[in-house]
Amino acid sequence: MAFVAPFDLVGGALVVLAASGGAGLLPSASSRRATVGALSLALLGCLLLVSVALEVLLGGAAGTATVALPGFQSASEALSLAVVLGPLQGLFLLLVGAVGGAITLASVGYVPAYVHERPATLAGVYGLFVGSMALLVLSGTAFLFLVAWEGMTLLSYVMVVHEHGSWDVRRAGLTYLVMSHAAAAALLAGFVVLYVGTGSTNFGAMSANARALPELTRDAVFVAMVLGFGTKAGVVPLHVWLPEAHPAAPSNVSSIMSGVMIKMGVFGLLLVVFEVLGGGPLWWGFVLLVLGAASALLGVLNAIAQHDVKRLLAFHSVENIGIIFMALGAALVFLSLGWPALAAVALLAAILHTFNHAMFKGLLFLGAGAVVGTTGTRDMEQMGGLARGMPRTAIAFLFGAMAISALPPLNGFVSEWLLFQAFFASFGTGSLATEVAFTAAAGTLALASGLAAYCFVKAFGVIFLARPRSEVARSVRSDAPAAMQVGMVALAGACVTVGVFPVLLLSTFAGTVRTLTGASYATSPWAWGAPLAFPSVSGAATPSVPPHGSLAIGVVALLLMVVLLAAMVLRRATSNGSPSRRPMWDCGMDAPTPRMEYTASGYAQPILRLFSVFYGAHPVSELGDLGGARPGVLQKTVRHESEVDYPLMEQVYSPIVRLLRELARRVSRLQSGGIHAYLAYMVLTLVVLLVASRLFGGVLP
Amino acid sequence: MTSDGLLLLEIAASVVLVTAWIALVHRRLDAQVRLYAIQSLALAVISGLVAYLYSAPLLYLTGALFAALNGALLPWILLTVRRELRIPPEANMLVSVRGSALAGLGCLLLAVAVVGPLTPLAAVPAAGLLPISVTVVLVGLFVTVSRRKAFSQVLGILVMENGVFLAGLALTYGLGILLELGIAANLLVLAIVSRLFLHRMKDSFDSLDADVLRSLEG
Amino acid sequence: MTAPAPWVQFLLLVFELALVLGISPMLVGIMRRVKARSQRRLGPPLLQPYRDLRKLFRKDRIYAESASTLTPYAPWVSFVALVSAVPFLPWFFVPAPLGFAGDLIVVVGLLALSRFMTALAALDAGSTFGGMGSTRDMWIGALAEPTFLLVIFAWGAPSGSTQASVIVEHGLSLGLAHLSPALLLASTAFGVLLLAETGRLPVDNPATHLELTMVHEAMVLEYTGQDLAVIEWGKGIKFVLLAGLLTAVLLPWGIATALGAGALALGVGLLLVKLSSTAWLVGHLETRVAKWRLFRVADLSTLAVALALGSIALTYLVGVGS
Repeated sequence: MAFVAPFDLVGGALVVLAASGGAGLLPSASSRRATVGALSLALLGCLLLVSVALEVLLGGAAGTATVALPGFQSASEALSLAVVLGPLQGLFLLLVGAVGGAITLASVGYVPAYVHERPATLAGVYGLFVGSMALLVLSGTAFLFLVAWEGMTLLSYVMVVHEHGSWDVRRAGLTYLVMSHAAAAALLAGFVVLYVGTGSTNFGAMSANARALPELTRDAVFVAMVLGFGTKAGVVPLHVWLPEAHPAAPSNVSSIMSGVMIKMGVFGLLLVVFEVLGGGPLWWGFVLLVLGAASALLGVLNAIAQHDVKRLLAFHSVENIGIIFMALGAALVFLSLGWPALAAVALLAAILHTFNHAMFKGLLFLGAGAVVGTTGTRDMEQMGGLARGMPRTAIAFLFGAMAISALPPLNGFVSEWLLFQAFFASFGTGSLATEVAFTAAAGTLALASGLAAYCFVKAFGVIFLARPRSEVARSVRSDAPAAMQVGMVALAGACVTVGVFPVLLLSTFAGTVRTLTGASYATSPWAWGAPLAFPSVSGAATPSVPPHGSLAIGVVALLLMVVLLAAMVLRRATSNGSPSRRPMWDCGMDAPTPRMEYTASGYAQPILRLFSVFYGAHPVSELGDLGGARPGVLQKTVRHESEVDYPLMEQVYSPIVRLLRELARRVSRLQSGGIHAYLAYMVLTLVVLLVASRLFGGVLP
Repeated sequence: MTSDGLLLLEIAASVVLVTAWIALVHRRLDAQVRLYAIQSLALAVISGLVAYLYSAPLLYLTGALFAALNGALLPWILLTVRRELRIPPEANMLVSVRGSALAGLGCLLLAVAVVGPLTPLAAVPAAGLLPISVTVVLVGLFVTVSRRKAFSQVLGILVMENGVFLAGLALTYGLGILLELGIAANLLVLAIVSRLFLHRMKDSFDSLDADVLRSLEG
Repeated sequence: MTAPAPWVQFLLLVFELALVLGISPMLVGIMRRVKARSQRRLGPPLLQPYRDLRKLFRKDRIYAESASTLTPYAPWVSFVALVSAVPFLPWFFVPAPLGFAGDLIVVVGLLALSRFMTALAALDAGSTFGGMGSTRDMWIGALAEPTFLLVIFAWGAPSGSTQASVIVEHGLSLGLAHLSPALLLASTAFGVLLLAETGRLPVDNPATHLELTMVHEAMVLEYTGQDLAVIEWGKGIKFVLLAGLLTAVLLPWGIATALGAGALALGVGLLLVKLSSTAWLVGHLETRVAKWRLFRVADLSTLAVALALGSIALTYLVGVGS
């Protein structure tokens, strides 16, 4: 069936991506040609990744293949390298290749048009970055995984600080770098513990032995992994880098970081917690569930408060990662309770939402990129009426907004539906804690999705509808570059396709679901009208869960189409002439100016007020500056100021930063500058190492 | 027939629960009193139903007494007292409406967690009665502690008493002792109400002479 | 209970759509009439909403100069989303024609789609009123969403399904025992939700045009002609959807489970009775309560969420529901 073995294709893809880096970074005569060349190579690499993924997922090559890389066999087993290609890897290669590909295509339009400084460098680093993500997914050993992980982090850091002329960007980059390194340290610790316990860094071998590890060791590994992967994924309270770094980066980079890179945290959890550790006690699931619920709610609430469009989208990434974590938590809980079929439903929801979020968030960031690039500002209060100048971007953005708001028949709805069903199914399990927690989680999810709709009505309305709020917005005449439009349309099309035919994508999850839960989920990719059935557990006794809801979203979409058609016929039949255009209703006042429109901040106000607990301070709206008039009489000027604090940053992180500074100050005393002192440190270190190797020699090979 | 009777029992019990919950979040004293009246009438119906289902004719009497006293007389007294003493119509809540609604949920969850496991053990006519009655008691308790006015506190105690009455009906089918208990509790409440009445009078007029009430007119 | 043949299903679907489209203005008429009567006014005739619709369909369309191409289409998408929810609900026959394809969560999604479109269109012209209505409506909607979902959980608990037809069939199979405290608690919560979602007092006043109090009316100020007609019609349909769902779950009796002229006629007849009594009740309620401050709506939603959670607690922890 396959003409080229998957591993050769993968190798080819990685080489192409490396070449993309070369094309961008090597000195070149034409910066533009180098940019486009590098991005085209990256696109080719993405397509190759997709073909590998499809071959693995559809080619029936079930099971996991591991290839040790010849020539990389170190004397120490801990440092050996191997790549692995199983169903889980196939899925995430598909994510990197397909969503990354669409974003790369859009980048071909975006980078030359909107990145003015060193576009070729950005393009080259971008290609390498995609390659590092592919390598991460393919890692067969913890060592290679960590190397790829660090590469991914550093390359993305370089892209975040690409426009490093501004202090804000450098600060965001620093935050990102520091938090990523703390996360990497946690991962390193976790993998070392795993290695010491299982005697191998190879994931396959680890997996075989990890289940027999002592309870405490497994718990420690779990905590380390949640800290490490949770930071990368951007889950509350480890998310603080995300709303800083995403807005600072060029928009195609925000797009791929938010769409694809943060999903690597999800991949890591699936790989280590589900595949290697094979699930754990009940509280593991609850930890993920609580983190997820907190992220979903705080993410969306903070998003509503923003008027910087990219920051708003970044907070929505926190929200959606929260939803994915809730689903992962539910899957862990079901696994530990011994309900693999229900775990499979939750896992389907988690993976589907991972893909969905990649699609619509990638799309939304691209749309935001087009808008920001055209208007030159990220402040939504300066936008308005852009649907007229940039109609295609507006339509694509609208689809993304509807998908992220979980409206049928788009993809966001399907994954949230699955998750609701998973929560609902908890009632058959007979575990009181689970029932209570899942009911609360379902309420939180419903609230978060309602608030997401609120936020995106605000975002779309303020950016694209109404009258222009500034001169810049009024003068917008041209839409995004063509390649960018194609990229956005591809992602919007994917949102609709997955929304209407979810089984197309879901059927590729079968192998992963089987590997991770033991439940079989088999469905034909073409059964578009068939309800999403609950997977049956082959072999094990089928749990006596009651029948659940069913969803044939294709039928729902068909019904919507038919009714829409009928409505349009009715519209045509009752229409009498073409509509006329008149000034809008001004309630008897003189022509209202755009300054009287509802602003983004004004739109958010009811939520800020209701949920003021979650914001640092109430938004301050004051009548101020009496300008000489007597108080309470005619005021010459009125000033409204609305400031939203970010309590987490001030109350949790600031003390930590202060503590670290203090520690650093103390440590710096060691640096006396005297050469003797430094030599003494070296001797001391050597002695400590020797003693340690004597003491723990039996443990560390 | 019995199952239908049980069903009516459950419905009446739900009315008791819902009225308690809404009274908990309502901001008007008069409405709270009316809700209390509805609740008491529902309890009287429950009493009659239990009497019928378990052939305990004494409970008809209890029910009738309950309807007359708690369903009609007490609400009337309370409404009159409020009007005559010119107690402002708002319930001064120490806990916000939202907080109170959630507190109601907390009461229910607590009751369910504490009493739920007992339900299969006790020969209760309908499974929900016991947790509901405990919830109503807790809600009444919450009303007494979360309101500033003495009037609301009396109301809270009355609601608690209704909860106790429901629990009694649920557990003992109201035989013998219950009747006495019910009446005793009612007397207690009447005493409290009159005490409040007198207390307020004393506060307002420095006198317990009923004649001063005339000065309220005009 | 086996589902009837596909063509029968199709006929049922068409009939249900026609029924809901046809009677929804009538229910609006009933509400207005009851409200007027209980205020000692004569009130408009019951058929007035039909005449209004006819008038609106004949009028010219006018759009604001500042409006984009979203404005002419948004009301229609919103309307279509509401109409499309009809075949997922039990009206006078279960299983619902498209019950297999969508459960109540789909209905929540369709209502959200409808609201999303209306709220967007409200922002389109750039008028202050529109923004005001839009933010208020989305605010109420965001708070209503958890209530709706938890009520679905509570209702679906005894039968273990989120599908409306299964819930109703289960209720019918229980007989009178179906009326459990848990159900009543959840239905009370849904009643609160119904008032909020359909923009009735005390959440929104359908008769006001005062900027301090408008919610829905503020959103549609820019519309006239056939667009306004489908907005008004859609409002009626939304009421019918929610009232129909509430009555079907709370009082499922009369809903036919097998085909037969008598059973179907009874089902349709009782459906009309149930719907008009709900409208009558809401009309009366509207005279008795005043419009609440917007921020007190949150109190109402909290109460509804608490009631729904209480219902779930009773069902699962004590087993009262089953």
